[in-house]
Amino acid sequence: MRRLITFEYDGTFDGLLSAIFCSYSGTGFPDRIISSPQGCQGNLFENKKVLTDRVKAERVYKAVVTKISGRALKNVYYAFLSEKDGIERHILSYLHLGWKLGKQVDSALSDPSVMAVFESSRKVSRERHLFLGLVRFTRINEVYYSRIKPDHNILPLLGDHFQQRMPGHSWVIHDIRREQAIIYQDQNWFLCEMEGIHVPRDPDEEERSYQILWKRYFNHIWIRNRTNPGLQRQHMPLKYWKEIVEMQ
Amino acid sequence: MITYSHHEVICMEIMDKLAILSDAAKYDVSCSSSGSSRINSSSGLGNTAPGGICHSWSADGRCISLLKILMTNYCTFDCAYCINRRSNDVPRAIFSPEEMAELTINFYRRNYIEGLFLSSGVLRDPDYTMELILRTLVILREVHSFNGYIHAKAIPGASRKLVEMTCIYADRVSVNIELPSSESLALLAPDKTYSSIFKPMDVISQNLREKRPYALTGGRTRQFAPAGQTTQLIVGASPETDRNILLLSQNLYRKVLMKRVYYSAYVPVSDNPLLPTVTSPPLQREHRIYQADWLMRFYGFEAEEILDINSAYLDQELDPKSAWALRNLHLFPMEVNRVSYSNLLRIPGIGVRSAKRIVRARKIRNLTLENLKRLGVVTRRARYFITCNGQFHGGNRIDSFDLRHCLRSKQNRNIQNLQLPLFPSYHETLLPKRICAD
Repeated sequence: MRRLITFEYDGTFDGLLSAIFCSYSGTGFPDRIISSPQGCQGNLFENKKVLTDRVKAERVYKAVVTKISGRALKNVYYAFLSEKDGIERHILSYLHLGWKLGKQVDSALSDPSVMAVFESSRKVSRERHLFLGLVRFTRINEVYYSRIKPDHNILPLLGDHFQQRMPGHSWVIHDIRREQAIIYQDQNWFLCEMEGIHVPRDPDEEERSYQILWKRYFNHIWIRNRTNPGLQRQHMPLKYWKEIVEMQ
Repeated sequence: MITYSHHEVICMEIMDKLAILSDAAKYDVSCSSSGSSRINSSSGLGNTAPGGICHSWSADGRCISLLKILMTNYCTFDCAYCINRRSNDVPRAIFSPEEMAELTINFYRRNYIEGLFLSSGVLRDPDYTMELILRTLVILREVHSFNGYIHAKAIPGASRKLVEMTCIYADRVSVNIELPSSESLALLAPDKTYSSIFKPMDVISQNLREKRPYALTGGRTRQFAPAGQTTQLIVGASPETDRNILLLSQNLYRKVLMKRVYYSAYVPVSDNPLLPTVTSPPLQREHRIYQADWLMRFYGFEAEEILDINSAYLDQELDPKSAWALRNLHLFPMEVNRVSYSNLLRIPGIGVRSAKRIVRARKIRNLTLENLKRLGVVTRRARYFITCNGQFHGGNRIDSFDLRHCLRSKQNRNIQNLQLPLFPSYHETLLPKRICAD
């Protein structure tokens, strides 16, 4: 009986691409690809640790863009950010099929891995779009600070949008689930770890008055005869309400 | 004794104005921030996203994308269906253009909104009001370098020059028809004539057709109303039928380059005897009209197909596409692996997205019912109308009555019959004429 092969990578996108590179280098396709933060499981599986190699990752990256399509790369990156269990293995199958079919792979929705990547990518895309609207800034000492708690790791996908939107102000978007943040200052945004960093959260008087104004507005545009809390929650799931000013 | 800081006093005033003027604006249901794609400058504030962004959802389930507000709810007009009519005793308020701009900018920075939706009651006269609106837009664009989304209302009766200027500074401009026939308008809103409404619409559509950018001083150019124009029709305040409404909308889409028509279920705000006595707004009727509107805009249907000369009202139990399919059973079943995209759109259970996916996926392999389900097709409905590789999965061919029962959605199984509101008898003698926009 063949032992089941598991690849372990460091949880980064470059790491995943390195693992994909390794899948093609002779030892055969792994049955699972897991990221080390999750930890190894049991001795039934033979875990091979994949070292993240920038050069290998670049080669895979290029091979996806040139031999499959730019869209496939986006699907793979977004699916990766979904952090869904087992998505890495689907990504491998998706790419394997992609290198056979070329850009047509995105139409092969009857293949379960293609569908899995497609659906995860779409979920991430949707959550990202939702958060473009749900991010709420609080002005604290000239910096606009926001807290979010998304299901998927959409933080890196928000930077460009907000940079374009508010180039003239410093802002921070803090993912409190993952303790990471993107910070914009001096025409650039960058990702950084937030573990252990204390953030002042008390808004001043002027800030509080804008929050109250907004809550007032929110309550006044509600047409009473059309009340439909189910519809409201459908669009704006309850799980996000804690960080949204008007729902607090 | 409670003392308030200067800041608090100003805030209270703005707070009260905000409450009054947002309350007054909520019946204009247009809410989108889409249709315009503008990149910010490096020193400006804001951009527009082509698809629009929803920032929040109110307790009635509607999306909040813009700061939707009136400049003022003082009004010299006396339209019977409107909460702000001259004869109604409500608290009145007015924002200055500076206050309006300041509020917009501060909400925008905090990512509460995508932009501004500015309407107004008619203060003094249409041109005076239009100038107030225009001044707000100019402050936003020129003083604050605001590049976010702006939707401004054109006041019926405003002069050409002012309407054009507004279109240069706004992304979208709209003027509401509200009542779907000139007879109803004459009865319920005598201060507005059909020509005072259609003139600004024509001005906007003429300029949209020409598509040239407008040069402003300083060598900059602006595009003319990049998100086009829209309008609104009130459903249920007057006796026009669904067929009247759909034909009017179709005309507007074809002749006046209307981007979208919005339908607003009449919310009873007055006990004027000319208006129907309804206890609640006709939401189901509004919903069906929206579905029919979607069929016209995205599914290639004509109004006359959805409601022929013998049907005045849409089926309340069934969505309009299913109702159409039941009247045209001779066209089914269709083979999903072969029929054209426009035919796929006609199948109940297949939407625009699924149809596009089917066209893509069937190039790779023949699709089975299971494949269709994975693609997002509602096979529970579609199976009665399709074959997959010649296989029919709809059981025995049943007649349209049984099929109707299968197609009704679970909620609608309990729905009461459409109750048309009773209108005063003199309305029944008026036959609403077809309205053309020329």
